[in-house]
Amino acid sequence: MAARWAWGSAAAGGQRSKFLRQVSHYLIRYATWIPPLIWFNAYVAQVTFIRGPSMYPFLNPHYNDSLREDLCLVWKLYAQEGLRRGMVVVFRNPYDPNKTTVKRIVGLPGDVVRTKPPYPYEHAAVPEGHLWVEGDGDKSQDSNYYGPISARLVTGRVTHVVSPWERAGRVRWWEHPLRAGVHRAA
Amino acid sequence: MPSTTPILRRLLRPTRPRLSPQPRPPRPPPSSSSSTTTPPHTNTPPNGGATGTPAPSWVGHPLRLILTTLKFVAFTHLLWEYVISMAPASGPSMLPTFEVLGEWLLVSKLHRFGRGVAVGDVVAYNIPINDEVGVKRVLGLPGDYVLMETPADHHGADGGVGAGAGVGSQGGGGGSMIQVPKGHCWIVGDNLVASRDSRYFGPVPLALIRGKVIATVRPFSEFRWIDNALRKADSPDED
Repeated sequence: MAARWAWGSAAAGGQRSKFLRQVSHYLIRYATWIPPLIWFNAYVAQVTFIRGPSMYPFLNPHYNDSLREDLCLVWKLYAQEGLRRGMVVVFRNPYDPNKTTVKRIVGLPGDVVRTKPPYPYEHAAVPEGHLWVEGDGDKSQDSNYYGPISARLVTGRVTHVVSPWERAGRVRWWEHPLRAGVHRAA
Repeated sequence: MPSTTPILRRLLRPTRPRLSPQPRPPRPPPSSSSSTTTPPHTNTPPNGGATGTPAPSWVGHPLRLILTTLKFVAFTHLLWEYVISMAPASGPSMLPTFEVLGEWLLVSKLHRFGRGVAVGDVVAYNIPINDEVGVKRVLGLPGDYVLMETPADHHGADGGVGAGAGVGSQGGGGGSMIQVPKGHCWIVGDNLVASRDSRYFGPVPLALIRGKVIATVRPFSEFRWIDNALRKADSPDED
């Protein structure tokens, strides 16, 4: 509608129409960059804030005394390939497809995991194509609530911490100790 | 740095708005009289196309052409990923509805993540246990109660493959039911005996649903919409 109005006044001529023509021209030119940006964010990399205490103390260590949230780089290229125990992954929540969740991989397909309280059974075998994910902190809704998740839900890996300057840098997931109580398949 | 600056400057230079009524004179204005007759070149250098016919103005600088192509591809990808897409499908699992080979399906990506999907719709989904895409019918949404195994076959044939085989031998009324957990759906193929579906790998997260199958387009003469097959059962009391 606004474009039509701008078009009409541009046809009439005048100083204001020139201004409007330029503005609409630049708006359209910048708008053509939106699809590449969406593609990049969905398939290559994205910088996002981490919300909530589920990865405490690894991410958001000050969730109790500050409103500051960690800013992380999520690498999305080939996210579902080569998953290892200890990696911090981003996946779509199996309980709500519109939410994404950050957790650490605890068990791979074939592993037998000793579960934590809300889970109804003491041990859980991770089926093929699935992962057992848990948060580092206690306040975490993870596989102990909804069971093993399909690896197809994984959308990315947290590779770098960006925002709190003192902790910025690469996420060294391989240095994180593996959780006890996992009988590894291989 | 000095080598990249001219390219950057050329990139960032505003091109003429397409709806401008009169062409702007070319950059080195030779004289006022000849400026109206020369065709407008936006990005070709003034003496670049002196030998043959100059490149048309919409071609522009090669780098800009590459960028425009990339932007166009990204836009098409956006439509393909979030609005509508088409893909071939094969396999016997949806047999009365789709043929085994040579089906091409039109998938509405507006229904991804199970948005607006109802019981009875045919959906394309990421198979949770491997990295393939399947097409099945939704039989249960969050909160619904579904039969976990194949319904017992009263005609004496085997109840089905895999998980359903034991139930079929029990006779009518066997099997256990579960409530589909929140955020999940229950997906079963139309061809019960040759379908690997939720009876095998359990409820599927709605986040794995890629879209709703709205039509088959195999030869375009056999185009047909895929509608929701759920019908209200006639109850004998109503007559």
